[in-house]
Amino acid sequence: MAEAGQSIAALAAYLGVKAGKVTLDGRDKIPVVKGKTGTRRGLVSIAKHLVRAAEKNSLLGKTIEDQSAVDQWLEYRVSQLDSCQGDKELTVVLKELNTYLADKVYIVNHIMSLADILLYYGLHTHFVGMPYYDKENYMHVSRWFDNIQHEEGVRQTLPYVHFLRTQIYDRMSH
Amino acid sequence: MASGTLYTYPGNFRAYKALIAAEYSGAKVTVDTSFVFGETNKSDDFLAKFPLGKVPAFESSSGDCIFESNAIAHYVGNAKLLGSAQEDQARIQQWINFADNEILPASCTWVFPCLGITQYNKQETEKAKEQMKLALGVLNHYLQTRTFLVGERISQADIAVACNLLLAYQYVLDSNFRQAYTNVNRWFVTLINQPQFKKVIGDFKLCEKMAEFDAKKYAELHGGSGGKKEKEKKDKGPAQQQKQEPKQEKQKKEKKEKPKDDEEEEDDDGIPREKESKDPFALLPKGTFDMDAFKREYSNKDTLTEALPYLWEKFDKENYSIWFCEYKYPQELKLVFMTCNLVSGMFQRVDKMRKCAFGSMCIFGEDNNNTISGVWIWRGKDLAFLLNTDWQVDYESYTWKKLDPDAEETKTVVKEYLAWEGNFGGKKFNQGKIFK
Repeated sequence: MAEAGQSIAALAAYLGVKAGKVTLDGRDKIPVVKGKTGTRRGLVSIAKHLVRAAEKNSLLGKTIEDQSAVDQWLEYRVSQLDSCQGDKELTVVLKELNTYLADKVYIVNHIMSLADILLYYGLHTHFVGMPYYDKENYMHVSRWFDNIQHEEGVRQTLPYVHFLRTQIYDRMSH
Repeated sequence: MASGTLYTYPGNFRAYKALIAAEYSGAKVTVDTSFVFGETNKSDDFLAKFPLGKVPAFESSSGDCIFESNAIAHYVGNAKLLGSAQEDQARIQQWINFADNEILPASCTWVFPCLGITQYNKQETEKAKEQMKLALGVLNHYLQTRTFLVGERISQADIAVACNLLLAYQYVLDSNFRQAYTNVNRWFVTLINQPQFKKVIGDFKLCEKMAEFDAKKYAELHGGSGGKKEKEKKDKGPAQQQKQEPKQEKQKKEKKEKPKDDEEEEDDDGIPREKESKDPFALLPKGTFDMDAFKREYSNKDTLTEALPYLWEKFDKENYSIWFCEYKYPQELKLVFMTCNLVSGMFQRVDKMRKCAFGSMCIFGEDNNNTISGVWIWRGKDLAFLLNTDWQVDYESYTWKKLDPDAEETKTVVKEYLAWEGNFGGKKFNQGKIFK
């Protein structure tokens, strides 16, 4: 399971702002940040607050449509990805993302957004240990992941995940 | 940082390569708005700087004059676009060349007839489609595991390949055709939606229905004898109306592109000028019958309902003639395939007649009992073979009879020989060969 606290720290570093002290609340470990301007609860609201604080609102989407699409994928990170219990559920998420990303370079509207960054942080632990066979199986997620990890300042100290450019496994489905 | 003036007509996809590069690098590139295609680039001042007189052309504020779109793009680009490692630079170069050599020729051959810029040729178009499939296939496979062509960021490679694909994606790669290339589509759509691309090319709509040859537009753009001058005059008029008619504007632009880029500029009768002096037919009056146009009718359309009526409508009796020929020594003909070879050999030997002559030779009968006869049309009122000694190898083996273009029998004979059906005076049709 992805650690929300790490994602917040990494995002803050990428944006060049201070995250404040993150505490994990309750059994569900919901991150909470208590700041001067109030208390923010949950990964999504904390992340969006950080983006606004850094004045990089374009990461939240330019049009209303894009903004809601970004919101939807931020919610997806919390409700689908972070709640994964075991490989089976993760497989569902990866399959879903793989289909979604087949004709896309970024999650929302041809440009990198907060959705890309948080999904990248959320998926990173899963990709670190992933065998090449699976990486190739989720080819489109892999391609997307590789692209995001090369975005300047996103990866930071996270281990670099290596991908092969050529397919090495024979598959029926091509 | 590079800065300077770019000379181009609006909507030139070659100029886009440089303009988009400038958007990325921040180079200050101003398009010269007073530029008039066909005037500015033919002026002495312009030719002194850019001897080819082609656009896009770039003059930097420090006085450097650069032509060729890729070179200009290089000039105004930055290290991110051009690659910092030598390996990356080489790969970027590779894709730039791929764009120019593998994509562009096929794209132009396919798209230009749809815009009425060039004449339609079914074989060429089909060939171009195959080339396009091949290039897109290669690109699609490559992009399966990659987001962009070189490295993980947009480089000049992406810009060059995408710009050369613009025309095809706009006019002919409809959803049906492009569905096989999902990776290319993803990459292309992402690029054209980048703010830096959008600023230069505007909103881009992918092709919905594959465009086809537009004969009307072609006639409009190429009509009349002094074609070229008229064309240029027409170019300028619509230039001011661009905003109201973005689509038409595009077509005009492409059309302008054509004459300077391809060497296929032909005279109205389809004979390249340089060859004219060597062509014995050149001494004969041209007349009004367009042999090339007729051949296209014959190749692309139904013979009985379209090509033949076309022939009789346009045929110029004063300057052209129709001939019937028959082989003199049928008793010497053995197997049909050997007879075929005899005809093919003749076609090869008179190949130089092709521009101004058309023939249909038919073989009748079967093995060990066959004969050849045919119908020919050519410029001039006499036997064309007498014009050149190289053409005289075969013709003496045939009897030649000039047909009266107004006679009913002639219409029947021509119809039978061009359509390869009818009773041929009782002979049994085996196969035919067309000289065109």
